[in-house]
Amino acid sequence: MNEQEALMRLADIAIDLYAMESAVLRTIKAIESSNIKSASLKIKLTEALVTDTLLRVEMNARKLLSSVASEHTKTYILNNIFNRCSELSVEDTVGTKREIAEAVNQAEDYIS
Amino acid sequence: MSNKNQLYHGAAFLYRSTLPHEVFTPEEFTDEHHMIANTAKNFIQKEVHPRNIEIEKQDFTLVKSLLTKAGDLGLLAHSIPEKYGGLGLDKITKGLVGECLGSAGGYSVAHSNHTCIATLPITYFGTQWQKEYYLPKLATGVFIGAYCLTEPASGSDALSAKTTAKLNEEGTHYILNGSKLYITNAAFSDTFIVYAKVDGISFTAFIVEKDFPGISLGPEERKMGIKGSSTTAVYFENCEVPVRNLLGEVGKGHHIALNVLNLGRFNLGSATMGASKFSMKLAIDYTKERKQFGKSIAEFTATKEKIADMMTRIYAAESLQYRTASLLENALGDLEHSEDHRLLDKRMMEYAVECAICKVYGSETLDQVADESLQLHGGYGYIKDYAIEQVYRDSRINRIFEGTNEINRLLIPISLLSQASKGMVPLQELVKEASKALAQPATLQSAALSREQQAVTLVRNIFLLSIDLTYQKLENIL
Repeated sequence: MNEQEALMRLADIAIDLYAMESAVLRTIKAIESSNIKSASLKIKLTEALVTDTLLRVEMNARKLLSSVASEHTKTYILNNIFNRCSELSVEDTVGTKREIAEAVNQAEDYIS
Repeated sequence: MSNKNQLYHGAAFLYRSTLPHEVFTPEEFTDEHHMIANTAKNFIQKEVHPRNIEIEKQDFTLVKSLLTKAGDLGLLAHSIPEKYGGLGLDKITKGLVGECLGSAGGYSVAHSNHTCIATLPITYFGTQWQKEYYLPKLATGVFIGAYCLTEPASGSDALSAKTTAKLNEEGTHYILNGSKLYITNAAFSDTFIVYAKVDGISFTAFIVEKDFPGISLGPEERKMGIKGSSTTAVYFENCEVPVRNLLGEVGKGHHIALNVLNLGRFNLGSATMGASKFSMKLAIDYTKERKQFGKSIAEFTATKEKIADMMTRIYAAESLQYRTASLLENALGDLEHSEDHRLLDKRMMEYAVECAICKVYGSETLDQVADESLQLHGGYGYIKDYAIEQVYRDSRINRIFEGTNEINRLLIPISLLSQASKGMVPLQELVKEASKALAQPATLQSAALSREQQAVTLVRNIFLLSIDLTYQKLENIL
């Protein structure tokens, strides 16, 4: 088993993909079966999760591709990944996270 | 049956999208699900938590009596068919019970080890006699079970085990020789699922009872945490195992070992997610009460950020856990009475990638949540009088057992590469599409979670491109 470092980074991205997709699908299902208002905490959780996850995926992809991509494709691919991640990671999560914590503190337990 | 098999696509999330109505979510729990969860929660709160000090002091008579009590309430029986004295409930229930037990430290490990890896080999691969004899006892707690795979020299490389089995001249017994290490529940177990190589070659499973001649236990290991579960070495010295206790087929033990570990990993995901919720609750209670600089530390925004980070991870862990529960239920729900070991084998391995993720994501969520919850306790968190101290110690093993997180990580990309090399997944076409998409700017829409949905697609495309480039590099090396 060569290139275990690369396989580890691939696994990290795959794990983050499954986690974020599961949360996104769950929240959309909740919105569809009731309404946006009653799913508001789920929406905040999903927004915060996706923003944090995207940063981690970008970092893992950069680490991975800098070792496995060939020199002449590396810059092109890394630029594309950087641009796509930047377009989608504009969310400022400081306010969102404060609201999440306030909801949890009020419930005094895990809620969603 | 072959048509039906094509319905199941393990690891498909890696290369194609899923629609919301295709996933199961905790919002859809039935009344029966809630009922079992409440039974489990009440049992833990009323019977287990109040006895924690004795459990931590390794009073195994107490632990065993608690397991029997759990058996009386049906909490050992969810995964055993009704026909054999169990409740025959779905994998969502299995997940829920696992989650509710999560707050119970070493007791939880003892309980889950019994219902999962110590019982399931017989549920799925036992002979008629083995099911009729053992399952009713395991379902009620009359018998407690252990699972013996690890050896002093074979951990992650489990199939390199050195324990041997040889059929005696009379053909009545297999004679087992060797030693197994770090065996959970050993001190009070009645049955041991043991893996040994017949004639030193064929990896095979056996059901060994504690009173069979030639089995003995080592001293209790002095562990960092999960002290409520017994852990010892188990030795076999010309141990006589009747031939009817051969489990599955000679030379097919690895199917049982790996399949059962899959469900064990799923279960560990549930338990660690439940433990994460418990840990966060300790942090919430403490930070609301603790005052510094004239106000409760829960009001400081740095605390809020930590709490929100825990919440976010737990929400994702919970979402992926019950999504996986439903996938497993769909694949295995109708196979309770199947004697077709090849079909069982295929269905149990189908979601190996998802089960590995449950284990890794759950255990790393718990480590992060336990660490930050302890940090929020300040100096008090380092003192044994505070429950978070134990949560922190108990957490650490979860990244190690049932396949280290590193072994589980390796399994994920390798599974997809192997599917692709068998022509089951058109990886080259998928990569071409992904590459094209990555060159196109995103088009943001105003609908709720539009950005988040696009992010999922983006991450999938990044994954596909990355696995392709890694594969090319691996090929160049080979």
